[in-house]
Amino acid sequence: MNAVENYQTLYHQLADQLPGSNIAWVRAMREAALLRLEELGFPTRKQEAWKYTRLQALEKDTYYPAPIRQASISDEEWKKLPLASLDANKLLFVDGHFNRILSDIDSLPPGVLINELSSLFNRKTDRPPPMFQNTRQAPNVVHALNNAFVFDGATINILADVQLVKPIHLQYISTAEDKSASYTHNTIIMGPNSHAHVVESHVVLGEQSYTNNIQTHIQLGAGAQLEHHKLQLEGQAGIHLSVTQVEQDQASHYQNHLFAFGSQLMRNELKLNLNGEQASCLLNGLFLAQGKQHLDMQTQIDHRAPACTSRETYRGIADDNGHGVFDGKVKVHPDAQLSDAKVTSNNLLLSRGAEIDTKPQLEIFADDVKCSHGATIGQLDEDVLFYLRSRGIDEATSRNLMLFAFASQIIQQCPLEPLKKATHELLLKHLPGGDGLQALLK
Amino acid sequence: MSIGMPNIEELVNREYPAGFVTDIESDTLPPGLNEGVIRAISAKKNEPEFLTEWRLDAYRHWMKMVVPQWAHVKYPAIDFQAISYFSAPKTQKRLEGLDDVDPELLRTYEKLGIPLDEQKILAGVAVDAVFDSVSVATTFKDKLAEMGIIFCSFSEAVQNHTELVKRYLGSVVSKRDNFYAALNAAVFSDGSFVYVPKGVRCPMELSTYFRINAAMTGQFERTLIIAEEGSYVSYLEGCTAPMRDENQLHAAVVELVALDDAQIKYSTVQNWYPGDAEGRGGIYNFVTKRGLCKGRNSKISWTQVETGSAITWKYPSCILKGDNSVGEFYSVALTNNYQQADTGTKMIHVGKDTRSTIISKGISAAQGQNAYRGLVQVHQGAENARNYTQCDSLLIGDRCGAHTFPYIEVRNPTAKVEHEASTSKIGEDQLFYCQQRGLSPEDAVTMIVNGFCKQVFKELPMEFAVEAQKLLGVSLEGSVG
Repeated sequence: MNAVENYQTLYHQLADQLPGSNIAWVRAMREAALLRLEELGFPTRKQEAWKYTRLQALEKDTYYPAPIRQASISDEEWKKLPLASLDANKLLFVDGHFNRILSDIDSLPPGVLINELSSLFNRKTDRPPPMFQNTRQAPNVVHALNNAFVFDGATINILADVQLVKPIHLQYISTAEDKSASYTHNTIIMGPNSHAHVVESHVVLGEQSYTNNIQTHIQLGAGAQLEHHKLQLEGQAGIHLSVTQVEQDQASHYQNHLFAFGSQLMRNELKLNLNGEQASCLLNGLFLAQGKQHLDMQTQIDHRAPACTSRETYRGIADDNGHGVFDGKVKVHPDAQLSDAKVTSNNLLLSRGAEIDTKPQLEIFADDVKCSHGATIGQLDEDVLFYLRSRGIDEATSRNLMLFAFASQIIQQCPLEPLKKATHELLLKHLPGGDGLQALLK
Repeated sequence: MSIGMPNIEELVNREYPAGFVTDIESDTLPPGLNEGVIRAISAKKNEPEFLTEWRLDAYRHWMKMVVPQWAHVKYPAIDFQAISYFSAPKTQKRLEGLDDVDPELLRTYEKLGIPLDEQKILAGVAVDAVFDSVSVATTFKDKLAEMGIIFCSFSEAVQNHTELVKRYLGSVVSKRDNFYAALNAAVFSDGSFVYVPKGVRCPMELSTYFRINAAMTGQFERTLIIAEEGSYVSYLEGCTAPMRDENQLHAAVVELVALDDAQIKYSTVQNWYPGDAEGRGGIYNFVTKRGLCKGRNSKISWTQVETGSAITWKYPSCILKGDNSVGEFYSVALTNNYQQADTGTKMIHVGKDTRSTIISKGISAAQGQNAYRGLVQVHQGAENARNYTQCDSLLIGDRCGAHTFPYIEVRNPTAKVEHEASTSKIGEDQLFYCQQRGLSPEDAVTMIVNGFCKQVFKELPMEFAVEAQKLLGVSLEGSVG
């Protein structure tokens, strides 16, 4: 049996247990996704979008949807989790299942509505909600798998003019046993002129192998502002697959700050449609691929209306046998005059077994535009190293300090202070010999 | 509007100046492709057994291949069975000298300004002119022969230098390399062959003019240049083609081999018929060009100015295998009206201390689509590899497109790779300034574009640089206003 058939069999075994199994539209949606999965098959190197990343792990083992478990997390463990002390409206997902008891969304201001997705699956309607209408046309295998097995997620509605001060924290914790998968779908809809911070964090308890497949759909009304942060700290045997689709209306502003330290395989797709005039976005990313990690960052920004601005900076570090991939595409559609786009990809390659592949792309169909991209792959600057060593800092520490500085420039851009601080600490923890730096930086 | 403003309508409607068909008898095979056709081509050219087999193997492999779809170009599917794969001007007897060449042919060359006659030889250009598919005249051979340089048509090389051909043919671009290279390997008709012996510096620029003639005949040129240890050669390639309604297919292969300390400079000015203002006709140009820096300290430099063809699909590449070898790529690609270009380069760093530079300038006007597609690959053993890439695009008109698809793959921690790209249009203020100083908008644009391309033009041999600048001006006509 091939991998696709394995997932089909799995679906048929579980069909009655998945949420919404007795609701016609849900079943139809899932079955359409399965057909799509069959059509697409698992990606091969021949497929342009999958040139550098393969999903062999998902083909080799069939990951089954993680069951609901009563999380037994001690207070001690809680406190140890990154961002545990973040003052936020917290939504906690254990293995992808929303856990109301451990969440904290009681003090939401008026105009902010949060629901769990599974409640939607009980609704009998003729038409599925918009995000599940086109599962037959899912663009890739990650989508299709998600649509077929999706069991939970959050739907966040922020009404017009609401300024949400406290961030919304979507905290994902993986605790399930080996070969389990969490399939979630989040929707964030923001009314005109609203403003919010959303923080996503992904952590693991244990060393199991698992898949975390998340789809996020974001819609920003005119003038809305969303700062979206993501801290990826999956386990060394974890697979993180994420697709985020953002639709932006006139003069809306979207920021995405991504910090990827964990997982054995990560594929992060970020797709933005700048649909309204003067919409703007800022994408920042930092990834650190060590050991045998494979981290793949895919972004696509479509300038569909005039006078939109996009800025994107990704920095990557690959060490040991790590493999980093960056693919950043900007497409300026006809009539999207006065587009202003800039993409930068800077990478450090530190060891012989490591690899960096970067592919910043521009596709431009309008003439009055200002678009540029730059990419570099290199090493730490010997002159800077010499300077530090001449000041009496040993070589290893100097190198670490430079790595820290390189990565820190991305973290500095994060507008959420507590997150910035936490990420700096995490960076120190993940850098080899970062502990030594801590003293130096104080 | 200001005085001296050219009549744009007139400029746009100007016919392609090099569009004419020479009416001479040619020996053409009926359209279609099968093993019989390949054997017939091979037999006509009296080729040795190994080459016939080589062609057939390429053909059999080609049959299994599919037309590549990844390029950023759109065109109706090509019916490969509707093409005639061989067309040679009829030559009854061996030509003794220029006097024996069909005067009709000579007149064609004259119209194109090819320096074939005595006075032109004084200009110091040795020409191996390719009329359709068979070389009809070669000049300066004697002088080159004295130095041991072989410069002849490919067919001649097959007859007289079989061992060299056997050794190097397909060593850089394998006969199975890609769809069009395989097709070329199966049916290639003729081309140029250059061999520069050890330590020889070729005293003049070698030059070939290609010319498509005979309706519905694809051109399948094959060029092979070998530079032995410590030698140097500069090769010029320029093309024009007669006006025609059907789309013509051109699938050439160029292979360069540079041994220890050798240098090859390969310059191209490509001005095939681009189709008319509505996008009818024009040449389909699917070319595979690749150079192998086989020896230490070898250097291969590609310079190209691409202004013609309805479709250009071309990636002159360098495989930097020898330690300390250098690869360069300088390109200007211009697309006007409905032209489409997908061009770029590949720099494959295999050896230690290898360096490469890529400078690509794309200009899109009217509905033109221009894409840069490049690969910089640093292999694990390529210590201290260095690459610098710059690709800039200039947009003229709001219906054109400029695209950049760079691939950077690095597997060595001592490598340094930099890539920069920008896209913008000609600044209103620049135009205003020039016009204010009395330049017409057309001249102003030409001047700005020439400035934009200067970095590349300065790499061209002098004669070519002048021609290229003029060509750019002509190709841009009608794009402003």
